[in-house]
Formats: sequence, structure tokens, C-alpha cells
Amino acid sequence: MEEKQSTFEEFCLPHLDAAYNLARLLVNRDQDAQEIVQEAYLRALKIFKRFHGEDARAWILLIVRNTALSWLKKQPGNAKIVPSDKVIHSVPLEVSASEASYGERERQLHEALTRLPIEYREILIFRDVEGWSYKQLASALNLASGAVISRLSRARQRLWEEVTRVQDRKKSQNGV
Amino acid sequence: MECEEIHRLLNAYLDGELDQERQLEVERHLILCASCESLAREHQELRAFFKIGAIRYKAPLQLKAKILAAAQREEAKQRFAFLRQSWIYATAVITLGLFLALNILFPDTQKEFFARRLCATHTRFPRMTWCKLPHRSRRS
Repeated sequence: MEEKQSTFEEFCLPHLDAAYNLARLLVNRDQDAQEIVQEAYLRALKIFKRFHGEDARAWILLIVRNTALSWLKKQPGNAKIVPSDKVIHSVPLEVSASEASYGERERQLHEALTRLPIEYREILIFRDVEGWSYKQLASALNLASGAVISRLSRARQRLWEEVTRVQDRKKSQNGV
Repeated sequence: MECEEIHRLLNAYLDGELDQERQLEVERHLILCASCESLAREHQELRAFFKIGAIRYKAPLQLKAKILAAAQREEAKQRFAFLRQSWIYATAVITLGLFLALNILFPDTQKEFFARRLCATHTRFPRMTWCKLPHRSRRS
């Protein structure tokens, strides 16, 4: 058992930052993210004998994602997917380096991300933060390859819309 | 390919995730269609400006310690997990019941008789083994 635990630590603990980052971006609050990661790691320990030494990072991240989804389901008013067949239209974003500093941009983007339905958030994180291929996304999220293309497309579209909203709100607060 | 289809595939195209044939089709369309080409450029600019990958939270230091402590608790729990199985208690109760029943059913005299017989059968066995030993080894 001790040997099992040390192997588990060896495989899974190096990905703790990625696991926490995923949980934090999915649920947004530090304390909730910590609880989710802790629960996910315990789940992982229990089912570690079923892990055959493939991609430990992807394995632990999927457990974190599933734990976060179960946690979100228990929360009242959790973000649900808003189906939309809208294709991508031009979004009037003001992309100028002078307007938003790097830190400010990051904050705006994070705020916009947290406003997205969870299905959009997770696919964007797995693609843009973790760099998963469409094939990996399809297999992990149990989607057809066409569905990955459409969902990612809609997710990006919604993200740009939300970023515009965040920017507009900020402008109106500053009285511009 | 129609513009609508290009809009649908634009993200996958920019991610380099289309198969070669479709990648070339989109490319050809973008050369010919100014509106789609401008949309593609806009998407590229947005991606370059807002990098989701740049948002990275580091796990708080105490989280690792919490996980290790919880894992140790879980390990201890799993080590004594057999105690939570009801068949162990059932077996213990049945054994105790049998012991009590035997005590009630057989009085002390009979128990002594059984004990003597048991001793006799167990002590006879080594003697028999000794008898079968070869003469030389007995002398030595």
C-alpha cells in the first residue's frame, strides 16, 4: 500500500498546479478549488490501480474536471450550456495594447471566462491552457470530432462577446 | 466551400486541426474571399492579444500537505477496511454461539472423555512414527 501511495505521489503530485489551475478556472473560488482538488486526488488514489501509466496529467485533470462538475451540479444556479447555432460573427473588440495592460487583459479575460457556461469553459481550458488536440478533446469529453469543432467555435465566440461586455462595463464605470 | 462553412471551420483551421484537404480548401477560400479573410485576421489578433493560456494559478503550498495527510488517512482506512465487513462479525457470533451451545449440551464428564480421546489420538501418532524409524537411527 505504501509503495502504491509513493507511486501515486510520484505520478500525480507533479501535476498539482495544473489540477488547481483547472479547478480554479472552473469554479472560480480559491477555497472551492482547493476542496475539489483534494477530493479529486483522493478519488484518484482509490482508483489508482486502474491507472496503467499512460498520461498521468490528462488522467488526473479529467478526475478534477469530473469532481468539479459534480460539485457544480450541487450548487444552486450553476452555469448551464446555452445552445446556439450562431456562426462566428465579427466582434467589435478594441484590441490595442495601450488600452489594457497585460495584467488588466488577463483579469478581463478571466472575468469573461467565468461568465461562460461550464461546457465552454472546460473546452477552452483544455485546448488553450493544456494544449490538448481535438482528438484528445473528443475522447476526453466524449464528443464527436465535428462536435468538438462546433463547441470550440461557439465557446470562442461567446468568450469574445463576454470580453467586450467586460470592457464596456469597465468603460462605463470609468465614465468614458 | 461556402462562407458559412468557413466560419464554422475557422477556429479548427487556425488551430491547425483540419485534415490536409480541408485545410487547403479553407486556405483557398480565404485568398478569394475578402470578408472571410478579414474575419480570420481578426480572430488571429484576438487570440494573440487574449491568451487564455497566460492565466495560470499556482496551487497554494498547504494544498500539497493537505492532500498527503488525507492520503495517509485514506491508507489507514483501507488497511482496516476488512473490519467493516459484516461477515467477520457474523462468523464471530456463530463461533461464540457454537462454543456456548457445546458447553450447555455436553456436561463436564463428557468433555473430559472427549479430551482424553483427543489426547490419545494425538499422542499415538508420534509414537507410531518413532516405531517406523530405521534401527540404525534409533541406536544413534
